[in-house]
Amino acid sequence: MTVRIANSSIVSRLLVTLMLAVASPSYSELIIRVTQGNDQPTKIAIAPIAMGGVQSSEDVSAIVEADLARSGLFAPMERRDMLAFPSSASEVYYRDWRLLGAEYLVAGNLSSIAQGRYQIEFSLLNVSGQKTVFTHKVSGTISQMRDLAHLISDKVYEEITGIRGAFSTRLAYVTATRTNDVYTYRLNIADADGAREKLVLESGEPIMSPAWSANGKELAYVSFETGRPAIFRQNLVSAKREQLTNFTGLNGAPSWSPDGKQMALVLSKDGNPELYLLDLQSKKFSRLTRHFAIDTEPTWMPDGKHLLFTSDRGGTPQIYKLNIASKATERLTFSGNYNARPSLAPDGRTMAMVHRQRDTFHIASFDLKTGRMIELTQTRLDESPTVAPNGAMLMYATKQGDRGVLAAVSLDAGVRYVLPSSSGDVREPAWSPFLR
Amino acid sequence: MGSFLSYSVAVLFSLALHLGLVAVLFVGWEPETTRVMMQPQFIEAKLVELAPKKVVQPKAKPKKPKVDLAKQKREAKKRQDKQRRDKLAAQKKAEDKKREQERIAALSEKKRLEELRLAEEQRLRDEQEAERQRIETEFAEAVATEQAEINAQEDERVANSYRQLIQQRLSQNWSRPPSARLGMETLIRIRLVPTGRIVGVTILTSSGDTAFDRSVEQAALKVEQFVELQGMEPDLFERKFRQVDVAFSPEDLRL
Repeated sequence: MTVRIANSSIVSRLLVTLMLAVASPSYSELIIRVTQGNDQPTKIAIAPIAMGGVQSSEDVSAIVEADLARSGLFAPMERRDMLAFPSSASEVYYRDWRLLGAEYLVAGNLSSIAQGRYQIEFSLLNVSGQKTVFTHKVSGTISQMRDLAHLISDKVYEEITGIRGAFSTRLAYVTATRTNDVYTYRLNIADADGAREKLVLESGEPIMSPAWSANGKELAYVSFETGRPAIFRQNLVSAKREQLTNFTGLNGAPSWSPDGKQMALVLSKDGNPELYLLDLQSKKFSRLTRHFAIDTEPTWMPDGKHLLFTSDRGGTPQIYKLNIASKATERLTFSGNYNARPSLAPDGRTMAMVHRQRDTFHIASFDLKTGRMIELTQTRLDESPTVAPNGAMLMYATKQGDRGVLAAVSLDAGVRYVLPSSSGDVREPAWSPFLR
Repeated sequence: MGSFLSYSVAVLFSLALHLGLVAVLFVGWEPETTRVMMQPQFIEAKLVELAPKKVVQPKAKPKKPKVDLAKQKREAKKRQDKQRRDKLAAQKKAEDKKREQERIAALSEKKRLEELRLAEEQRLRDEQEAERQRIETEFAEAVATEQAEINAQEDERVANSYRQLIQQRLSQNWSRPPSARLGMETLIRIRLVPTGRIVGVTILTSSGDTAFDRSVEQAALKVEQFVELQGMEPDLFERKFRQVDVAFSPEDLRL
């Protein structure tokens, strides 16, 4: 019965669209209008890269497969279902791939171009259209096979989805491990897929609020190693560190400006937490807010002229927008009695935040233009959202059992996954900008 | 002054009215008499037939001469009478002739009028006939047009059912990229062969988003063939389905 009703509504809708098409004056012929889709993950086959006898511990094709699958927008074909492993476009029998249901196919091969340097030439093939979409080359050393794999993922993803791939980006996060009642805090960075974890800083005192510089070469963070919170900046290549603040009270929540010249942060040296601006060149501080309530968690808008921040000046924590030049503030969120920790997508319009609903903390997205809020997660104690530089996914910290882990969810809430973590509680993820 | 003027106008008017009435009383009878005079002429015309016979009979009698004065007198009188009669007869004859001529003229006029009338009647009949024929042809034409319209409608109904099928099939196979937004539109032309197989897809109008355009192209390529089109009338296929234009514009997206 319901099926019949649904059908008749579809038919009437079709008739309406057909009639509209007839009435449309801009086309001479009758045009069929398709207004609904059936969004499915794209079926793609990643044929194993022909390694030409070169030994590598990394399976490049498997990394590409995992990258694309994690995005939720692709359904990679199982390798054991493949009838052939073509290594270039000329070896492809489209008919076979079509019968297997693949819409796209990636085929590639590795070759040695110099001492210790290798090149992967790979093609994206449109199986339905029976044509090569592109052929590209990436090159690197044998230890950079993961990087090359992520680059291939980026290229394929961008071509098919129309969104820049963020598989070559990194994550910064803090872990805490307890052995014999002694805590060890670590600041780590890793690939966006959680692989190749690398230690940046280890301390017996808490480390908090990692923040990437706009060029992705430095991290700012809060460390309690001096006995009280202080903000540091650290170069990720040279490991050179610099302490930026040493005030009494709270020194926290650093946020690098898009041009990399300034930093927004929170200081409570004048009594209660207020937003300040630090000029990284002149080392001068200027106060941005002046309010008896708590103002914290500043984050830059892409225009470099506004900040979003959390304040309880309205009685409950809510998100506000600050014009840096005029110091004018505007409250953005009104739904619920707890909205905090804003993180903006690169479109400057979609914001992720922590939203409290029925005494549990979720991650929600908030459209700055329409004011529409969508709850993205259903778990408890979700915190610290950080949006990927391509705006497709966001990472956040949550609890799995009694352990803190990182999880990701797409901004349309369609895809979610938990990042495997090595050890301890994982907290406060920060997604890097594009790195090249 | 004004009242005098209005009075004088009224007085003049009533005077003119009375004068007019008097004039009508005296003059108004005249045309009546002339008309009355006309009527007897027609009656006299009937008597004319007998008159000549009466005139002919007395002709023989005067051959017997009578020589007494009275008789002469009588004869003179008779002659005079006869002369008078002859004169009258001649007069009558002339009048008769004139009347006859007039009658003939009237007859011919009547005939002419009759002919005219007949011609007019014929003309009207012809016109009516032409009108009838015109209406008949028009009716036939209207019937033919209506039939053609009914056929076209039926044609269009069948065509629409196929269009619906094409639309549904494309919709099922259209997987939009995340870059797809409300308001984007890509117009493609699909070329078909009578087996329903898609032999060509061309983008006529791009949405401006490469991934979106590709998803549209891909939807058509994934369909590969509309098997149901094999059952279509070849004529309908040629006219409407050799190439089909399809506009893809999402209405079910969030953004």
